[in-house]
Amino acid sequence: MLEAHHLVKRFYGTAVVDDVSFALRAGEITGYLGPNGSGKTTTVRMLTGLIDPTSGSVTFRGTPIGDNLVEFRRHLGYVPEEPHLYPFLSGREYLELVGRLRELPERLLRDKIPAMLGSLGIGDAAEQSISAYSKGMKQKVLICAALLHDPDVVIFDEPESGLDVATALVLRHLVRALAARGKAILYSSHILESVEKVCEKVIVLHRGRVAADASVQHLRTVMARGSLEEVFSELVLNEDPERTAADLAALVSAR
Amino acid sequence: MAASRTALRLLRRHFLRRFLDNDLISPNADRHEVLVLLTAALAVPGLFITVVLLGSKYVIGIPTPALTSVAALDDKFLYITASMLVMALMAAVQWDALGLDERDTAILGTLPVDTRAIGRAKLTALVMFVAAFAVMLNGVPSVLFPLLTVSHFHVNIVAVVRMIVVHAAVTMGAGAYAFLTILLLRELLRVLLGPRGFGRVAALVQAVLVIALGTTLLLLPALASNVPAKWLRGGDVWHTVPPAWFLGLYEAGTGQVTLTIRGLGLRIPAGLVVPERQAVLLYDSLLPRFSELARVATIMLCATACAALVLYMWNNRRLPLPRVAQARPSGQARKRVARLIAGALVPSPVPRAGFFFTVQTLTRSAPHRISIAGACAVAIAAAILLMHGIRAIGSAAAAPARLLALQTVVTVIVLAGVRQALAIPAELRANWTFSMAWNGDMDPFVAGVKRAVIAAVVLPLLAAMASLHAYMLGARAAVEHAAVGALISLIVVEWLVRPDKLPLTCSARPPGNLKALGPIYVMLLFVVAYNVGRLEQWALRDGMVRLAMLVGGLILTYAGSRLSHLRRRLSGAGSRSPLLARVELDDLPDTPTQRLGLSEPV
Repeated sequence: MLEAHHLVKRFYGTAVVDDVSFALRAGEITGYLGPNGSGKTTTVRMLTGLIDPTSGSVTFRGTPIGDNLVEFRRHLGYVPEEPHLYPFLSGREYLELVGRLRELPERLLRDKIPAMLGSLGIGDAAEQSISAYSKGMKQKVLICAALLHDPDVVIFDEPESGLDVATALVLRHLVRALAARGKAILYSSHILESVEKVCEKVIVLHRGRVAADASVQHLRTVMARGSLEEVFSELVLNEDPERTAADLAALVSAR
Repeated sequence: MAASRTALRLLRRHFLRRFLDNDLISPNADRHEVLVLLTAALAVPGLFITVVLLGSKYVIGIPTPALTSVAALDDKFLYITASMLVMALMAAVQWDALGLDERDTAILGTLPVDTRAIGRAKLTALVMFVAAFAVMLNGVPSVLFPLLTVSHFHVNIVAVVRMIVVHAAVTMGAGAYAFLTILLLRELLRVLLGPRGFGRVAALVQAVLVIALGTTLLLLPALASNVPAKWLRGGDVWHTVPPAWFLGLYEAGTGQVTLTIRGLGLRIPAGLVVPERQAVLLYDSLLPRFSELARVATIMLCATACAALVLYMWNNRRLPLPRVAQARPSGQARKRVARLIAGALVPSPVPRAGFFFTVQTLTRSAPHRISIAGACAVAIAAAILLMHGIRAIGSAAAAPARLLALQTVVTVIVLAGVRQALAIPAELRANWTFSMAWNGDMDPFVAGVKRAVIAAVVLPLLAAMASLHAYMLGARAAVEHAAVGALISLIVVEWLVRPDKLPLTCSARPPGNLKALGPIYVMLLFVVAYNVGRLEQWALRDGMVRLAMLVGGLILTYAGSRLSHLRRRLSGAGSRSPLLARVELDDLPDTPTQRLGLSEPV
């Protein structure tokens, strides 16, 4: 449904994303993994059309998204990494703004917004201004905003950031339910456990390049590892984490 | 001990930066450029007034001692009042940054620094900021003005230095008093209302202060003229006017020098002997009041400083608790009313988004509120000047064109402020919301913005002015006048709210040479408003036919502007152009300084 073709993004001559290609298919949840600075968020921003690639292209149903970005975004739901919202609006008002900009009928918004906020446990704070929300509450508003218009493609960039355990569990089930309804989902996260439980397929990014693109099961089998965490360590970590941690602990106690 | 001193210094620097990096300034603004602009904005008016306006008055115009000391009272009153108003206005604009807030709790709360030390550092930074502000504002006139007033007389250097010191101390002291009064008001409200109550009223108090202080500042040249005469006529009323206290302090400080100059036995030109003698009598009659007022000034300054500092330290004895989202009643009735209004005014979704987002931003966001409050201050000052000398007439037939022009002048000035506010992004980092949900057509959104401006700004403004006009002209004429005003406002909104970029989101305004065109626009406004007023005078004088003609003409003008907009839109020059289909949210603003490029090769 959504395909990235040889995406390259350079900042001041340095390639942050280098020749990344993959496809998101309807009904499939794709995990997107990589250490800090590996180019995950940059890829996500190119996929959403927020930034242009230096070279390569993103196509939606075979058409480059740049040809009709507005039309593409009608089908896209996006939960960004940072919860930047309008602080003087309430949660309900923010979702109304998003819904109206997306030209959703008023009646639908009236029913859907309180129900969605209520389901995620912030129905009581719906009228409170966002400036008083915790990070998790803002994240919940972002999740509602991304799903309000029933998109075909949903991109989650670190969706569990700030969420409590109960809501994180709800989110995992929600992602699976959305995939079951035929939506193509990209799930970018640092939390390997969630990715392992939620995603059928993972793409591992390392230094801007795709290090692996296969199903979780296939990766485990091919690399003869018991868990995704071990596969990930094998693919992207150059140093022994235990040793790095020990060095760091020694540094902490240094006087 | 050394470590804590370092911590205090770092905290002080952090708080000083916060005064320049607050919400009123774009997060991308360069701090040095902001400082340069601020310094210029504060120093240049004082230099201009002293050298250009007062230079000729003292150097050429008044060669005698008593006439000089009487004439100087007006100018000293002007300097003192200007210092007070600008400092108070600065305190009102910086309202949110005056005390510790939740952001400080988030940043500093976890550091191993004593809360009292944080409060002390904030207070020190505040004092330093205020002192720097006062010096920038009053520094240049403090040196130049005393030199001007003694330019005709042989006065020794000690006396000149004394005059300079007194001028600087009094104008800065007056400014400090005004600043402390606003600070005292703020801290008093915090104590009386508690954090939640204060949060509720703070925005309103800030807007009212900006309007009141801005209006007074604009009317200052008129208020500061002929001070001694007003003083003599006003009797004890002047004891309640704070600038008069500081004028008394000024004269008490420099009185000896004034009397010494008078005692030099200078030759008075024959034509000025009588006026000089009258000036001596007038000044001497005021002398006893000066020392009395000086005492009041000293007591009030000390008392206000003590009260403000005590309350400030009390309120900032601990870091404010972060706001926690709490269950709030859903406000069903309010929502129903909003739904009804929206249903009538903006039935489709995107205009509705524009409508509500505009109302919410203009009323809740501090930079937008202050921008509109500033415009309201200018409008009220213009209205007071236009209304000067006009009494209630009771009939529209005899209404002067000046009175009828008032509505147009006020509406256009406030709408210009709204236009300015619409160019300020509500929250730059949240713009991705628009990027993701944008439908590619700016027109419906802008239509909602225009309707919000009409509903939330124009209609309340016209209603407020209609009550004044009902008193001045009678109820029927007021209604007719308001109807004409509504049509004119529609045309003005159509003309002013014509954004090239998405209102309330874009980071850069289209470039324009407002410095050169501003005065021309102001003159044009008064000329057009006066002529519209005369046209209305003609229409109101002779029954319904002429009024219908005027209303018809205005409707045609409005329809013409709408048609021209539609034509542009259909021809592709409007908001459906491919360029605007993608919202440009990341433009860099023009630099506030101009690069001359003199060193570059030709």
